Amino acid sequence: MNTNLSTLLEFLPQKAPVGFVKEVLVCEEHESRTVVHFDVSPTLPMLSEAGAQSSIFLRLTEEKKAANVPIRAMGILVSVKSKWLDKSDKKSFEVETKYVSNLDSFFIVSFTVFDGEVAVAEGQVAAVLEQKGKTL
Amino acid sequence: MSQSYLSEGLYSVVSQRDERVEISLSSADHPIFKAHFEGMPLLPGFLQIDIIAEILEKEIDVITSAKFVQKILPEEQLTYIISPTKSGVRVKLLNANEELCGDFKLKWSDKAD
Repeated sequence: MNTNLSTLLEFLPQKAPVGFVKEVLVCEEHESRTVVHFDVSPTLPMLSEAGAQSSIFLRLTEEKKAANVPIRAMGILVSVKSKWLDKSDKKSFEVETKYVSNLDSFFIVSFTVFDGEVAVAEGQVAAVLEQKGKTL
Repeated sequence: MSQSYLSEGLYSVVSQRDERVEISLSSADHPIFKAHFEGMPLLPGFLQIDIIAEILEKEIDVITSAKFVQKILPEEQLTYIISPTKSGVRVKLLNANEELCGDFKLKWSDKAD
């Protein structure tokens, strides 16, 4: 993979103070890993938002092509489910996301939030991918 | 009820009685609306949940399901309707036209001081 990971954050449409992804560690077809940071200990909804933001760094080249979705599509969050596994009062975490499935432009992605080696929260987000500016 | 660094100034509580809470959102000048998204201000989904938890001083333990049905814009008047379920609570979020904007099934607990 020859992507310059440090330049990928420009793809994140959420800006401070709600742009929680601070670094992209892995950006693969069906898996991504990011560093996220919050100014306070995050709530579960904040961690879920971080999961959704991290999912932006899944490539999903073939899936997007088959669904006729642009590579730089914007995701519209449709639903979330998540739970704490081990509550943490830390402010920085790593978030791993994995592609689960899609039906046309409707994508489901799972996420796990790590504090070091410990998984502290997990969940799934569903989003509809649309060409930027088309629907919003 | 104290507002967090993200929600400070983002909303004001218009009324609160029983299981019904009405709020009014700030203008598009709020930093949240400027950041989400630039030129396209929308109330983020996570804040739709965090706002009612903040008002009722709850901590979300599980998001059993959260459906974001309709986009929410600055200056909207919103109503949360909370009802108990077998395993937690259901929170419906309506706009001024009584249209469903969000439907959240949650497990929450009282926030520790």
